[in-house]
Amino acid sequence: MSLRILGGVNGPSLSTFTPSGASASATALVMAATDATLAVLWFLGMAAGFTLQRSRFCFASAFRDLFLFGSARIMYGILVGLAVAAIGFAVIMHTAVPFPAFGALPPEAHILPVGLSTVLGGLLFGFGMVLSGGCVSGSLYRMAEGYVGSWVSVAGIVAGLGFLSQTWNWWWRTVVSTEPKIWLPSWLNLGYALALALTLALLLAAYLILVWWETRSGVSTPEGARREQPQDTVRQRLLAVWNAIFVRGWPAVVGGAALGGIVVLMYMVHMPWGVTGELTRWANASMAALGFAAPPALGVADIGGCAARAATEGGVFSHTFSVTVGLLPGALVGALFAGEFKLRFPPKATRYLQSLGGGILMGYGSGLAIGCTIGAFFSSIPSLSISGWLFALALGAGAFLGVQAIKRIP
Amino acid sequence: MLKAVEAMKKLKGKDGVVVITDHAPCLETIPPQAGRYGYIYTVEQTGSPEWTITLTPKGATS
Repeated sequence: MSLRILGGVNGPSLSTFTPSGASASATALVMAATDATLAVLWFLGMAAGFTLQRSRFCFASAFRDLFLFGSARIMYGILVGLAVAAIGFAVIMHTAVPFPAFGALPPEAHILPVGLSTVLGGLLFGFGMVLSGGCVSGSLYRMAEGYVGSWVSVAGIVAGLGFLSQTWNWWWRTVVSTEPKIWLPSWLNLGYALALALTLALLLAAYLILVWWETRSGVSTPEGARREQPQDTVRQRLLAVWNAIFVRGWPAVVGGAALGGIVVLMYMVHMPWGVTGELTRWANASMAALGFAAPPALGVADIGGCAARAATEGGVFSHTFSVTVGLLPGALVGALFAGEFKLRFPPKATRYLQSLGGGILMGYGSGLAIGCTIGAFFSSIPSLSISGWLFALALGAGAFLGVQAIKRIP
Repeated sequence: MLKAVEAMKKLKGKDGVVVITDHAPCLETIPPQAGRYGYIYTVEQTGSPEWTITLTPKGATS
């Protein structure tokens, strides 16, 4: 039996790398002229995009494959990344707020309200990301790999965020303003050491549960191999190293650890990683251009995370622009080196609807939960915030429902 | 991905499956599933970007 799972036409090859790399660097120079932090964040955004592309790191498939295939491959990578980031974040937050018991929260940390908005946002987001086949960061880097379906997803996300902006003030008044922000170091006077220990213990517990889950599902060490190139000469050996970095995919655990390091660097420079803030700015600008300007959002200055940045950042080149749009050239460079860039059109027209619908749900959900799998999860758990954990559970539940849905779509 | 796994489920090791794909994540997700349904896999890069994943039933001698 033979299956062809292909779509689209071959795109540019490595020869296009030089102009794309050069223009990305030129962008950084323009930024550096006004604000050095912008340029540094731009390069970190590119590094994140490159890492996502190289390790095929996809938060949507991390959650989806648990239920679809019983596999936790990428989830292990996420756990490693969270552990690395939690340790780094704890050091940074400790410098900013040495005595958490006094009640001050560290600036810029993603400590978000915990409650109904977290759960609802996570459910919508989890369902939407499985339906569309990628979360916000996943859709962004796949845009750069040439997946046309992901362009539609990102358009859906922006539309969903636009809808949320229109209704945000209602959510704020009825739900979000009553929700507490629970920061582990000040909660029950845990302090940094115990809060970090608790976070790492929970990550270890999650790891053990995943090992049990995979064993129960019957996922075993695969038998078989990739055809390997011979390694007899110096040239062949060096080529093998080159291939391991630039051509073949990285193990998810390596990708996760690298991403954990990158978010720590981003926080050292200014803020933890988040990509929804920038897309919210696009959504609000598009709505305003269409004559449906959203009312000024209430409460966002107190909330922090992606929402606050969407409200306070100005101009085209903002810090959120750097860490969001920077993903694209980073992933493009990764895809071009590996010869993986290709314009890929979804095989069926219904897939566009799936991408758009999933994108809208993700946009609305991430607006409500004040972040996506990056801002409200990957940057929030290391901020030693309870919100990240609750969001993760809701994401899992939403992804489970999403898997039931996609199994029924022919 | 889903199609390949469904094919293995349906064939239950009676017949081999050849998957030709341009979606790199298949290279990570399909092999562990092969073990689950009693298949041995080989991966070969047959284009840029295109890979051929051959899934052979464990009992087969070919």
